[in-house]
Amino acid sequence: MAAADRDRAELGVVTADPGGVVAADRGRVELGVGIGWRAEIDLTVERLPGVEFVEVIAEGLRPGNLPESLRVLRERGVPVIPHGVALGIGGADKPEISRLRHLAACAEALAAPLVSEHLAFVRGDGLEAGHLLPVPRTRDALAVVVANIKIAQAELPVPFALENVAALFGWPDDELTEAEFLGELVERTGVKLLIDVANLYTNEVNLGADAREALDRLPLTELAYVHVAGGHSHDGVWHDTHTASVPESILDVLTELCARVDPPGVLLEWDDDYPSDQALSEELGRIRAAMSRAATRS
Amino acid sequence: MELVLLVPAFVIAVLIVSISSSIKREHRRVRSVHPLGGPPLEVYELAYLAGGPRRTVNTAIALLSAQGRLRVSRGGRLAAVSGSGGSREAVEQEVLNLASVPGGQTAGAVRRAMAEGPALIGIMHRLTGRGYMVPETALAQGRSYNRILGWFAALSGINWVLSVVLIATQAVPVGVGNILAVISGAFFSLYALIRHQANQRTLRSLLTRAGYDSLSAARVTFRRGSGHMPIIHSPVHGAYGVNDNTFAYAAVGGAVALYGLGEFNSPDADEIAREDHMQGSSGGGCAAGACGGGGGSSDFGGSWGSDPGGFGGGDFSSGGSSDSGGGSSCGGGGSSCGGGGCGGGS
Repeated sequence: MAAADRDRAELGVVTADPGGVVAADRGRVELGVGIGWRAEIDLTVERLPGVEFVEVIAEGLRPGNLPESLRVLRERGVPVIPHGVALGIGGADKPEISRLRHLAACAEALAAPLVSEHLAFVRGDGLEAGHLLPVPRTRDALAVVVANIKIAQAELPVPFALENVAALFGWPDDELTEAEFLGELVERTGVKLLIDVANLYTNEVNLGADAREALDRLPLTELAYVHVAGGHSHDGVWHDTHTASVPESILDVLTELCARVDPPGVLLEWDDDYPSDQALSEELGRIRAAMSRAATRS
Repeated sequence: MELVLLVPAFVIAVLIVSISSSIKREHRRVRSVHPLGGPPLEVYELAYLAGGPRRTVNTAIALLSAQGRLRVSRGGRLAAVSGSGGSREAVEQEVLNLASVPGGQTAGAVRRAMAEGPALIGIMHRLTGRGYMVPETALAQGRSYNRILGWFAALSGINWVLSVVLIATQAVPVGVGNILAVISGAFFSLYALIRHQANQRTLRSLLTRAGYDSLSAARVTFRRGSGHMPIIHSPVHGAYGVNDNTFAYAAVGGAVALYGLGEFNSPDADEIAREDHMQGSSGGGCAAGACGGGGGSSDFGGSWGSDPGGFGGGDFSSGGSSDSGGGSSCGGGGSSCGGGGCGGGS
């Protein structure tokens, strides 16, 4: 066993194995640095050096007929995480069992170490919002979301992680901060956290919620992995578009996070206007640099 | 009765030789257009001469991919790389325009859209105007003669069968004349059939003598394998050693233009060659050479003596893959749902 592996084993850390079956002490799964897999950049993702894991939008997958590119990545031992965008676990209704079964089927087809979704509501009374809307952070809402998460966990064969969203607005009667709300969810359900530092930044710019303060209060020991993405500023509003290079200010938030915890994985999201392979590779390099800045700072 | 079979056999043989000579003369006349002077042919003109519209579009796709300006994904889907800018080459710009729609387009769809597009029509007119190609209509007479040759071949065959039957049943005497009629009938039937088939192939090609000569000269400059740049496993998209290497870039372009995608030393080549599911094997509705290639060899679409092949040939050494492009497409949809609008990202 290599020294580094031995050190990690002593720390109770395991790496996702080539088959994607993970038995992790303290539930930690080492992922590394990755990128969001999209059909438009499938060959790019396959040939980019240093891609240690990928995430795929679960709603676009057919578990019985996985894209060839994902099969190639799996054969190489690259973990693939199904990422849901339409479960609506933050809604007042119970999560739809069919959606959960689809997520479960995706996880099994990909031998995924975990499944992730958003802490958001996306529909109500039959109407689709078309956005990942923030959950009212009240005690009542907390109880509902806790129940929903437990339903999801019962259906899923792997650990479940929830992502903080970039809110379009804040509810006037919020009783808890986002960090407190997520902390309560983790404590009551054991759900893992997917922290999107770009969303923390977006909420800081648009809603005044201090990203560093949030990082201080979040239960980062339960971190599954991290999202990083670029966006655009327009009239003082930050648009989290996932279509541009990650600005230094968001990488700074990542550095802050890494100064507090060693994240199991960090993933670059890029959803449209894809730049060259070189540019994407450089983005991954910038992410690694931001992570290592935390080490040199501490 | 001694010559009863020889007379019709002789008449048919004369007709066959006569029409074959007419086809040759017509061929020679059409192909002998004298080229106008002007600059040497550029890569897309050579591609058009060598493989028609399909080869031209594939050359543009391969070059843009090699330069990192066009992204090829599984299933042959093409998408313009953001921030890569435009192109001064009309063919390249048309590819980039078509690949710039959200989600991109398949290579097959791009080929179909471009078959009747201004860039390829422009090249065709330029080559025709400069004497490297002839319009389709110029071959109408030759094709018409060849149809007649086909009928004569059939007539000769029928006459031969009839002659054999008459001799076998001793309806006519077994004399020197009649035996000669059977032998010559067999020879000219075979000759007519072979010439008819050969003419059918050569009459597909629209190249003039000058067009063939230009291709021959270009094939001396760009030999097979000249586009096989060593693959550098670098993060640079299309980093096959060509990004900052003008010579290598020209070599890749020349090789793909002249010999097809088999010369593009990249995993992208297989994807570019794919046709869409719906395309099937008909290739209907496409301009000549635009869909499905000519089948088989990437070299000799037409054979005019020992000339190098020209327009009409396939574009991939395997004859152009027509298998599934499906694969990754079902995993799509990520872009629209993952991204957020104003503050609404995931």
